[in-house]
Formats: sequence, structure tokens, C-alpha cells
Amino acid sequence: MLHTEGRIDVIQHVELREGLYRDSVTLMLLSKVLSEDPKIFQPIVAMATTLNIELAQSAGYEVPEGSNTDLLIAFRTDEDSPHRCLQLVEKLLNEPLGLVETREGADRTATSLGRTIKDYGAEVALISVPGEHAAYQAVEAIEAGAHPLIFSDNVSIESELNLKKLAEPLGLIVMGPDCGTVILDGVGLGFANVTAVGPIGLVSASGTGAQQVLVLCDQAAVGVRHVLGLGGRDLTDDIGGISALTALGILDEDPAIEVIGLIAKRIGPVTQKSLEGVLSNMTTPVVQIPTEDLTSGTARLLTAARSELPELPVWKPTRARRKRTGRLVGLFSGGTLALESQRIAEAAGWEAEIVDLGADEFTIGRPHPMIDNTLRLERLDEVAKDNSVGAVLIDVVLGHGASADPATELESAIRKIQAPVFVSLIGTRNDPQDRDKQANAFAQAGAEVFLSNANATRAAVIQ
Amino acid sequence: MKAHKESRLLREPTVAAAGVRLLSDALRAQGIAVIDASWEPPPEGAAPSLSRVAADLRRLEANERAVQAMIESKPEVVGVTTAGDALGLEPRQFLHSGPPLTWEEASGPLRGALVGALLLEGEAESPADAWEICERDRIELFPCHSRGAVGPMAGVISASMPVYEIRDEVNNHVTYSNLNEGLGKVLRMGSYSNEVIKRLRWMKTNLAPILDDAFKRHGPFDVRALLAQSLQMGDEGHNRNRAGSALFLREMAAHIAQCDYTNSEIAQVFQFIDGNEHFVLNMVMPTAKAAADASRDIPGSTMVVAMARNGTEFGIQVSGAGDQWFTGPANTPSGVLFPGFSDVDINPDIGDSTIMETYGIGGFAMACAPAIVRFVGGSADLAHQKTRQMYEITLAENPYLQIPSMDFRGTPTGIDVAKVVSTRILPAINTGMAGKEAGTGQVGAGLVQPPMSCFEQALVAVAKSGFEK
Repeated sequence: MLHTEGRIDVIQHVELREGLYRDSVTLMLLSKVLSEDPKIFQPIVAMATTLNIELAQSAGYEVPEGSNTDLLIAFRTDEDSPHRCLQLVEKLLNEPLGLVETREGADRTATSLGRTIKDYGAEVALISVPGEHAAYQAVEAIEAGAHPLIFSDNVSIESELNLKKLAEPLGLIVMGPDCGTVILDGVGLGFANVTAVGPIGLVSASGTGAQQVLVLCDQAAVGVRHVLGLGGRDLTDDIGGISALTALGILDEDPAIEVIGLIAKRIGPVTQKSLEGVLSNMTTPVVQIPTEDLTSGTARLLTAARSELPELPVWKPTRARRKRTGRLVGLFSGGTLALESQRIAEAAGWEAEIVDLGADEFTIGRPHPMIDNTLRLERLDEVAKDNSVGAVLIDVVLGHGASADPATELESAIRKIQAPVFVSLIGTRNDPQDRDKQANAFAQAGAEVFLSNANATRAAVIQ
Repeated sequence: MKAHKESRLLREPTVAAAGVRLLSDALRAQGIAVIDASWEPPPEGAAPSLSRVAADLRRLEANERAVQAMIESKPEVVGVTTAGDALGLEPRQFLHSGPPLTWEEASGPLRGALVGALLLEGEAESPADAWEICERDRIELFPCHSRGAVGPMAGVISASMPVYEIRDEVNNHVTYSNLNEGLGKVLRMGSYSNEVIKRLRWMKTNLAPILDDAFKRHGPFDVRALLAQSLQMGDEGHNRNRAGSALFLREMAAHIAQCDYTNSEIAQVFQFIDGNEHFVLNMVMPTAKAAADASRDIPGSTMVVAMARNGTEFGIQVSGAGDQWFTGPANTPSGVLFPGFSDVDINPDIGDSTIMETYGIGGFAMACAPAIVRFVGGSADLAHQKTRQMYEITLAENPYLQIPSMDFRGTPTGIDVAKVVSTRILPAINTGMAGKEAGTGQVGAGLVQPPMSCFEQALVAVAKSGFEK
């Protein structure tokens, strides 16, 4: 720890500065900086306490008498004059010193989700981290008092159940996991269509299902104020509809909501019972909309809202295609819409091969087809070459979060297909993609375009 | 059905987001207030444990109970007693800081302190003799924490040493610590010279009885109240205790003066306290220990109830995992050195004083102590940043201990291992630095980082406990 002085003549400088106080940390740091100077040896800059004077003496300095309120400056140098060294000491004593050291992580500005919620008083936490990390982020949100909206999929059903059990007594609703669509007071979170704010509130176990209902209500000029998403498993008996029941309660208490639509896939028998119990105590009428036929369900919802489903526009293809000869192929981005088409085709006794390209097996390592159509384009190319295909059905979902111009992406692939092509265009007039422009582009490419997926499917199977 | 009328869920909600920026940008485009948390993946392999504790229905309530118990604990010094009786120590049994270890594993300063303690107890004639006793395995070692005690640096407590007795009436709990010897060459830093032993003897014969007498005259001394004041006077309670020590002396002076000793003996006590800006450290440490003990053994809780170093390993204990230590190699602190020392002289991290950070002060309350901000990089701004960051990994704010320069915000209290692992933000720790070589003494003061592995192991243990229940 001592510098070797070699054989060079060494000048020793010792002085006491009367009454000059600097705190010990400043002085230790100052000594450290001085010792890094190649021409300064054994520097001691310290308050002249008994301890420090002894230390200086043991280092061979002759220290004059003083008091512990004096500042002791001692160093050795091999320079002709200690002038430069003294200047350095002077500078260090009178200037703020630089950083001790920049440590890894010390200047991280990271804020956890929980802290962000607390610091900004957020009410909703939008969670879209990879699935394995989503449950912990959701519990941070619950702990901080925010409603978690879990966009992520691949969350275990055990985690989902426990998150919902944690949130419920705190008056919080867990939306999701795998919750794609939520609207709060007219504001869309995740995938949502632009629609007027109105008297309808939706509780939905399906994101694209909710978007279909939104689009049809918009066409009837009836606004939707809230869509509370549940995630696809909420209404099974594994979860017991914890979020659904909370959501119904929340909407029932909102005086702005006149009619509630409950969009459900299969409902577990036990869950069905508790649901009936809650429904019987609600003041707001609830219309159940099974995902088997979203369009007729929406028609009932609109009737309850003292309106009706209007005649829906259909965009006819601008060029004729050959008559259909074989099976129907459906290439979907929305899982619920795929299922709806499957059921309708089956009910019509038609051979149909409906694929949900948004299913986990297709989305590992690549973006969802609602955002990116690459996989669907590959499939459409295959279909164009396959003479056994009698008709093609695709869904195109518009709105916030969806692809910016799906018609441009898909039109050349559609043109190559000889069989009739049907498009379910899930969009409202005010969606950022310009729905009517999209519809016309699809029609130009030779497709027949519907706003209702059920109608598109029926057209495809009865032609 | 729950009342949701108060909820702003349905009316212009403010949204916090973690994950894909695309989604929050879409919200921003609709004119909604969105704040993006800067989420990053936790350390490799931590996700399953985080998910498991997230899904543990006990955790939120258990942590709330744990942190409230820490905050509401109200420890007071009731007197000074002898370690042998209070802590059940025989002459060759010694307490040390940090998690358990053997003489072979012990670093220089701990060995030096044990040598000194053998000399003090009259069990050895000379340092060489003492060293041989230790080498021949003729001593027994126990962590201070295992006996309800804490000790700064080496933390060596031997049978005849005086110890403060701290009582927390709220939880009917008692903790102990030895008396602070001052700065420089002292036993806790590994020195065992004659001067060190002589001072320890005087502390036994004069300082301890006088203080005990003064405490009895004064009545129980509320240490939390003292901390509340000293944090507003520039202390952070770990590396700076100047204000707290002054406040202690001020409040106790009249009671000390009335003790039945000569004026010069009393004056010596005043002088000793005046010469030691860390005098009160050994009272605030067992106070923090008492508060942390109040949070122990709550099933499902992921809150840290002890952080301690033995010079070889850094260890933590967690409320939901009993007395189990989770350890990793102790890092070497960095900071500012006394003249004449360099980085190679610094011993790896040592001491129970990290109980202060466990209690939410020390490095966590850096914003209180502008006088020593150079430890954290030189500016008051960085000190504030450091403290602000600690709110990320803690469960609550202590309303009794406030930070004036942050509009009297409570100190960040109750370290949650889940938050540490998920954010990868490690607790900020201020510390003294002992010389590596036995006998050297203190070489400086600075900062140190705990190893992340302790927190990961603790998280796994609590996650498992939830699974096994």
C-alpha cells in the first residue's frame, strides 16, 4: 500500500490549515485521487485528530502542533517544487469531486409494474409480457390495486384460478389471460374496433367474438361503452366464472349501461348455476350471445336495446369465378370465428376444412395473423394450386392493433384463386384501416365481402 | 356483490403497461394516459418460482402482516447486561456476524476479533496462544442472529462483554448487541492490540455500569424515536450516526451525570461517546433486529427478515422460510479509504449491520444523508435515485421514519425477494470496510452489493413451501 520512493530526492510537504473543515468522506476520496497521481506519494489529507496525526507520524511525517479542527495536508513528491501538487490539493478541496465509481445497475431507471401503478395511480395494468412471466406481473398489479388485463397467453390454468381468487375479494377483475379485446368507456385496449359510445356493455370470453358483436352493433348505430374481457377459460368449471361474475356486477352498477351482452363459448354446468343466480339479481337485462352464432345473438341484443340488426352491406366481387365444386377451406385469424364457421358448415352438412392460424401451434415464434399475414399468404398460395378446393373463406379483423392494410397484403393471393372467395370483414366505418376501402379492394380482387362471419359462412356453403 | 362504484376502471382509467410497446402506443393514439413500466425478464430460471409465489394465495396478506409488524415494532433500550447471562455464552463460546461458519472459513478480521475476544476473556495468554486455541478447534462459534443478537463488522460477542438489552413491548421480544468501541483499531474490525483489549476492559468496568445505571434512571429509551429525529438531521443510520449519537448523549447526559462515579470517570464516558460518531449504531442495530424479528415465521411471506455477512458469505433469511440461511459469496465493498490503504487491503463484506437496510434505512435512506452522498457517486441527486429505486423492491413506506428531502416520504421498508428477483434490483447497502489482514482494523467505508443468488434461492424455498402446504 505504500509507494516506493526509490533513490530520487523526495520533498516532504506538511501543513496544518487552521479551522478548515471538510467531512471525512470527502477527505478520504480526496486522498484517493491524490494517491493516483504518479508524482504524489503517501498523501494524507485529513482532519488533525489524534488518530490521524499518529497515522501521519507513523508514515514518517513531522506534524506541528494543532487542534482537531485543523486540516492536515501531508504528501511527498519527487518534483522540484511541490507547487503543482499543492495546486491539485487546492483544486480538489474547493471543487466538487467526481464520481466514486459507476456501478452496474446503479443508474437503472427501471420501474416495476407495481411501482408504476402506485406512482401514477393507474387503475388498469396492461400485461403483454411472455406468458411464463405474466402471472407474476399480474400479481404485482393486484398488489398495487390495479385491474390486470392479461393479453399474454400460455398462462397455466392454476395460475389463472389463483390470480382470480386473489383479485376477487379486493374488488379487482382479472381480464384474461389471453384477453385480446377490452373497451373501457369507449377506449380500446388491445384489439378493438372504433365505435360510438352507447348503452351497451359486453362481457366476453372471446376477443374476436366481441369484435364481431361490436361491428354489428356499430352497423345498427348502437354504441358500446364497455367490453370486459374474461379470457377463454373463465366460464369453464375450472375457473367458475370468477371474472364473468365480477364483470357483470361492475356493468350492472354503471347507470350508463342499459343492456349487457354476455359472449360465451361453452359454460360449465356448475358455473352456469352460479351465473343464473347472479343474473336473477341483476337490474340490467343480460342477453347471452353464444359463439355458435354471433350474428343472431347480436340481433337479440339489439332488440333488447330497442333497436334491430339492419340489413348488412355485402360487397359483390367485380369478376365472376367458377362455380364451386368441392370442399370449403377456411383460413382464420380469429379462433372464435373459425369455430363459428365450422359449426355452421357442419350444420349445413358441408365438407369443410377450417384452420385457426391464430392457434398456439402456428404462433410460436411468429406474430399473430391479425398482425402479420405471412402464414396465411403461404396457405392461400397452396389453395390456389389445389383443384379440390371448392370455396375459400377468410376473416379479416380491423381496428386498433390489427394490420394497417390487410387488403393490400392479401389481394394478389386472392386473385390467383379460381374458386369463389368469401371474406368476413370485422370492421367498423371508423376503424383506422378505412373499412369500406378495404371491402372494395377485396371485392376488386374477386372476393365477396360480409360484415357478419355467420353470413359469409352461409353464403360459402349454400352457393 | 362487491361495490365497484369507487373504481375508476370504467371512467378514463390511467393505464400502466408491461410488455409489448405496440399496445400502449395504440392507447396513446386514443389519447389515454399510459405509463410503460420498463419490464425486463428476470434472471434465467427464475420465472417458475415467480409464477409460483404469484399464485400463492397466502403471499399478499402474509407480506402485509410481515411489513406492518416491522413498522409497528417499538424497541427500547432497557439497560446494559452481560452477554454470558443474557445470551447463554460460556468463556470459549463466541457469537459472530452473518451466517454460520467455521474458524477455517473465517476471514482475517473475524479471526482477529476472535483472538482479541479470547484475550479479553483471559482464555489466552498471548495472540499466538489464542490463535492456536482457535486452530485446535477449542472454540465454539454461533451466529449472533441465532441468539437474538446482532454485532457490527466481525460481530464477536464473548461471555463477559456488556450488551445492550432492547425490549419491544409490542411483540414482547428482546434483542441484544455489544457496545460500540469507536473508530480505527477496534475489535470489531479485527484488531486485538493491547490498546483494544484495554479499551474493552474499561467498557466492561466503567462504561457498561454507568450506562446501565443511566438507562434505569431515564427509563426505557425509545430508539425508533431517536432514529426518526436523526434521519432528519443528516443520518442514514448505518454509515452516518453522527446526529443520532449526539441526540443520545444530549438526552442521557443528565442521567449519566447523576451516576455514583467520580467526575473524572463520568467525564471519560462523555469523552468516549463524544469521540465516537457511531456510538449509537449498536443501539439502532438491535432495534432494527427487534423490528425484523417481529416479521419472522409468517407462512408464505417473501419478505427479508435478516441480511448479514460473515466476511466470507452474504446471507439472508426470509419470513416464510424460518431460520434457514440463503447464502452466496460475500462481495468486496468499494468506496473511500483511510489514508495509507488501497483496494487490495479491503476484506470481503462483513457484519450484521445490514440489519439497518433490512429495516429500510442505511443505504435505503441515502436521500437523508447529503453529507455522505459521495459513497453513492458524489451527488445528492444520485442519493435520491438510490432511495427511489429501493421503493421498487420494498413492500411499504415506514410512516415513523421519514425522509425530509422527499417531502417526508416514509423510508422504503420490507424487502420482498420476489421484487428483487423480478426487477433484478439489489438492495443498496452502505458499509464499513475492514482490513483483510487480521489485526489491521478499519480501512474505510463504502458500498457493497449482495449476491443475487441469495434472493433467488430464498424465492425458490418460499415458492416450494406454497406448493407443499
